[in-house]
Amino acid sequence: MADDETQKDKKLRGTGVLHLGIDLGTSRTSVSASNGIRETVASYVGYPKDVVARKLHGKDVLFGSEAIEKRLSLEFYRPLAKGVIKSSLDGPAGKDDAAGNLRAARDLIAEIVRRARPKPDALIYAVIGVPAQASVHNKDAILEAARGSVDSVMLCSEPFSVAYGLDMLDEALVIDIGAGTVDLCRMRGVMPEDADQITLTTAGDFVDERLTELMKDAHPEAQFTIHMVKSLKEKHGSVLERQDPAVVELPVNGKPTPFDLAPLIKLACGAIVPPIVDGLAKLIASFDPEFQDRLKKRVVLAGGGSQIKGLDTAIEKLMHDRLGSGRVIRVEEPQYGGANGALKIAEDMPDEFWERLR
Amino acid sequence: MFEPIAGHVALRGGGLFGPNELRRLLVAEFDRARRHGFPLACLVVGIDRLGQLHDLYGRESKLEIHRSVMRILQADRRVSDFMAVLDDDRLLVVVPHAPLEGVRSLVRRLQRGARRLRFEGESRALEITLSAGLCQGRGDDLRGLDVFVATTAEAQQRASALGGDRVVEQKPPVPEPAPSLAPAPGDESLAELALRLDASGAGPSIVAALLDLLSERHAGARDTTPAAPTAPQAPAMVGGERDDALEMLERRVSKMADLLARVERSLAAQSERSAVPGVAAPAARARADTLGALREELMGRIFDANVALRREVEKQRGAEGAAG
Repeated sequence: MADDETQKDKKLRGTGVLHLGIDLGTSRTSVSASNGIRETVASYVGYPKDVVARKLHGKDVLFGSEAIEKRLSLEFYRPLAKGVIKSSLDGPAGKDDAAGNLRAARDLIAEIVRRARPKPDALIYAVIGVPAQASVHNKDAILEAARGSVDSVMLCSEPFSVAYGLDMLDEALVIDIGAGTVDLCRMRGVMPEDADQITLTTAGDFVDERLTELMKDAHPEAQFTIHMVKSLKEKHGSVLERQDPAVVELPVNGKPTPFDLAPLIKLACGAIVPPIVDGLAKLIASFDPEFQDRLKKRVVLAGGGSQIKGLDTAIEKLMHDRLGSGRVIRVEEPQYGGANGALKIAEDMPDEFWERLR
Repeated sequence: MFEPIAGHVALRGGGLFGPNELRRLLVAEFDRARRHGFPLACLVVGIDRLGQLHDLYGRESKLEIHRSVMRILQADRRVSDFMAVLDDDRLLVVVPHAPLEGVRSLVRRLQRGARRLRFEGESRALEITLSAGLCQGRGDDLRGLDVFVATTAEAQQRASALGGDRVVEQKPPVPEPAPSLAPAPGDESLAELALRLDASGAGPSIVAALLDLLSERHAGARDTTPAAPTAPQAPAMVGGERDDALEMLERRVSKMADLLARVERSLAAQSERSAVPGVAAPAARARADTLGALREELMGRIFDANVALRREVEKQRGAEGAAG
């Protein structure tokens, strides 16, 4: 027994523990590990449809861009929606192939852990960021999916982990724009409560849908898929007053035809600004009036959606109009802001807490 | 000495510097030579009897002779040397980083080149000769730019007065002896501060910078002493020299402001650090305590939330099992 304890202590105190911060996103899943590795993978999972496809791909499961590329011969899953595993969602979205989505989520987490390259005998302790207002059911699904891949897991509000990673624990407002949700979180030097957090669904996917509608209306002859819309949004996304033409070639009756989609992209991307400022206004208005101005001056923009050009300025402008002032700061690494913060939490968490949750 | 002179514009077509550019270059070149300790020579070259040639053969002939001499100068000088029109018939050549023998050799080449020039003046060929004044110095010799140039110009005048076609070398003006190294009034606080910082373990760079500044102040005191007696015609503090002194003072003030800011930062950092080994300064300790306590509390809250989540999940499962 004494020998067992010594071994355990050695494992814990030495290099035997790998801490992971995971941002399990609707569009991308990122990991930051205490061994310095940072990886990101598109949140898509595919399983070969039959033995021929299995032989063709040479593997049982494909992830990320590889899965997107070969999706026609795969059972193709995007296991997350609105920042949580689809199987945990209420309504038809949750019921549709719930088991398949849960399996895909489990495999996705296993893959991102594998990409962090843990040593074979290492204990893996992970903090996973979840949307600020995820339900118990949503969180349970994530815990279930993660359990097989890690030794101990904790969940944490995604915008809080961004703020924690930036050391902005007091008098700051965090906007974390993902594909599924936009999470707003008010930091006031204590653990944020429900009243400090707002989750909006007008996020990246919403922009894609809006852009799809606008394109269908403006160019009904053009053929495109949601994946094409998503990639052109990621390339040309902008809300700048003056923007360069966004000329893309879309097939019309099989012939590639150029379209300038800049005005439509601007319109679709700009649609997320008013709900964000509405949410900020709610969090600011319900804060101590003496400190409201300080909050307005520390608005942090994070997440993949924050890469839309001119978004910080557009939010600032609307804040000026609606709230009198505002200063928005972009995080340096939008892709890894959540994962870096989650890793910091994982490393700061006392070992005894990890042990108790195993 | 560097005031614009009518007629120089006509000569500057050959790539010569005007008075303003010359001053700027001289200040930079003298500063550089002094800083790095390399030798710098000034050469004032005059064309003998140019005034008489002007009277006898007209302005065009004079300009033609002048341009020819400049061409020789330009062909013979190194890229790093520069020359300018000093006054009506003299040229100034600044030769940095060259041994005295090298500068002498340059002058000899110039004189040979000038002698080879042939100008037809009415019934006879005109022979061109040059008189040169040479002054070379290094380090402290190069303090007082105007005095240095004036000394060289005086040497050229002497060469011309002795019959021309010759070089007169002049030693650089001797600077006044340096004042005592004891701190001057006003320096005391800085010196004491340097000692105190040194004793208190402040960064060596700050102490070094302070001492550097102090020594520069003493050097500055030497620099502003009246001109050496070897240059009796030079005014003590003419316009250009005053600008020099002002510029130096401005640099010194900016350096002192920068140093004071660094000292302030260092003192603030020291007050944050422990005066007694092992004991944290109160402000730092309080801040670290607050942040540490906040992190600890936050970790506790995250853990509690996760424990509560698991309990809630188990409860729901239990309820679902009971219902099933």
